[in-house]
Amino acid sequence: MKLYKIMFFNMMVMGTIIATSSYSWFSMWMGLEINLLSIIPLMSTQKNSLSSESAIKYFVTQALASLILLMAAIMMMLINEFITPLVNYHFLMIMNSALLTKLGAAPFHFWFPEVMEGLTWLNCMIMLTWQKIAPMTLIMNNSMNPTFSTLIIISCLLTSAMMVFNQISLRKILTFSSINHIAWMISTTMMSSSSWLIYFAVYCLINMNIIMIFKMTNTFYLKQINNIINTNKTIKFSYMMNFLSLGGLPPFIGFLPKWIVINWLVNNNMYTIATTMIILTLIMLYVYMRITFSSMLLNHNEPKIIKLKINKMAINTINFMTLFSLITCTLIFNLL
Amino acid sequence: MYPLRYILLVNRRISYVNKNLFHTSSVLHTFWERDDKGGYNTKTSVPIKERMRLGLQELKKEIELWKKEIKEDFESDPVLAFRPGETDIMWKFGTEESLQQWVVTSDSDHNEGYSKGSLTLTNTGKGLFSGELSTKVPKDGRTKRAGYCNIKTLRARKSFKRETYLDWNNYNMLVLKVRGDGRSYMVNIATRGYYDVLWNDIYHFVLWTRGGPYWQITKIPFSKFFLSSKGRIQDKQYPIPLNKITSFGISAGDKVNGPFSLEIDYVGLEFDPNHTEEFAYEMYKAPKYIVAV
Repeated sequence: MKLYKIMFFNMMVMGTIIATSSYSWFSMWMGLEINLLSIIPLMSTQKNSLSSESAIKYFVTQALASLILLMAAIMMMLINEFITPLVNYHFLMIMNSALLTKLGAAPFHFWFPEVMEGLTWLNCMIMLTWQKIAPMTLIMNNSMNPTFSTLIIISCLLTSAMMVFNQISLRKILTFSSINHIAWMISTTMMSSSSWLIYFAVYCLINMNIIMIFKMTNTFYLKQINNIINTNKTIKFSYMMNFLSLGGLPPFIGFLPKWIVINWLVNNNMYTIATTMIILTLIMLYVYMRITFSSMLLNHNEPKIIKLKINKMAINTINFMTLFSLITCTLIFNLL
Repeated sequence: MYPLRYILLVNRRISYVNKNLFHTSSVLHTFWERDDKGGYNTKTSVPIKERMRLGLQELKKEIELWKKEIKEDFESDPVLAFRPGETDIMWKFGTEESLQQWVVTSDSDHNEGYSKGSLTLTNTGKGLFSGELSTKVPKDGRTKRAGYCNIKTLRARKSFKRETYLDWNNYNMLVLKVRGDGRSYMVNIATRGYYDVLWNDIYHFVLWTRGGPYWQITKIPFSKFFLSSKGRIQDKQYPIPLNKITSFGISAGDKVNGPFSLEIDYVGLEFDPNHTEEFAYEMYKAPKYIVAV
């Protein structure tokens, strides 16, 4: 591990922590900028000419979003003479739009698949998990107009459902899956921050499982899965279970956060939005199942010659958590 | 240190620097590209009314294309199995329409040489790229070398004239069925990037032809293609980004005066599982700021 990578990684973490723990919009903006500037050297590697293109595209979009965020914060302070009541809808919408651009939520998502396509798996994992913390925390700190948030949720779900259909690149599939999950996470921000935390933690866990498998087997495209999936039974089952968990199927852990969201929405009589979210997420589940079932059913031969070096301990432990966590969590909630 | 000094100089000192050099043409001091055509502008001005009329005619075609794309997106599943021995043909010559997908250029187009080339259909329905190469340099004081002809495919486009990329990630071999005249041709795969430094990224490999009456099926793995920009082979080589292909071309420019002819049946792609090489080239670790700056 190179020294500069350790330094920039620490700065990236520090930037997010500054953004999430600050008391004013300026320090939040500062944290976001530190995070952005420290991730750029991590993204541009020497092994691929496309990674620097991705890094520049990411930098330009994120810098623009930070600019709009700062502008909205300053305008709110100027209009309200340095006291910011959370009633200023217009600038709040502008600020939330900037934060949604940072997340990659639709309709501000156009940079996301192109940037992800040029990254390594480790950088993809950072982009899909860690980079979401700061913008989502800031969205929770301000109030979002319910109509606006509903529009964003529906556009995220529709976009991800329509764009993921004919994809062959695994990174792009995970990108659109991320956009889908952002919609669910925005709905949790309407509930409470602890429900968002549960959703985010489960999403990170499942994503890390999937990306770990892809990194170990060096797969980037659907076609490569066919070759690798039958070499090792552990990989085969963990890959299948994690994708179904990502789709929100019980008895996997991925069902728990969706269950919480649907429960809250129905208790608050938001039947339309709940039904829309379920139906549009089913399309994503169809895509996951198409990926996993076709790679499992098309080729049954198990080659003995190819031996992959995999960390069995890691995969077995994490997949145990994927299988049994749902039952454990429901028991814990009942006991509490 | 020689190229580094030029990068650091400001614009107003360029004329001062040029006086001290032996170059007969202007020296590039920055990587910035002014024009995506490299200064060779072939745009003709069309009156606004004519443009509106042509645009309306195009609109119907573009809407039909858009409907087809949406239908294909929903109906077709991505192909997952690529078997060895299966060649997926990208460009096949057979009809006049197939010639519309190619553009023929030569050095005489902009008065930089005297070579001539053309792409026609033969009696048997194959494409014939033929012409005459001339390495005679025109006496204009600017041109130093001449003698090339080129055919290139049009950039991949979606509906409403949106530029897109060809995605060849599922393949690892380029397959060409050609019948040449014994001369060597250069196969070019352009991967034009988003930013100006990457506009002229083209990957090359040489196509050696037999010259006999028999057709040859040449399979070139993508791992063998080397990167160059504006004809200069780059120090830092990368494997070809197969998801960012913009166009494919063949050039005739082997510095030999005389006629050339290359008959092409098809250009296709194949996946060969036995070819596991990722990239054929590497660079030794050199001290900093000496090479590949």
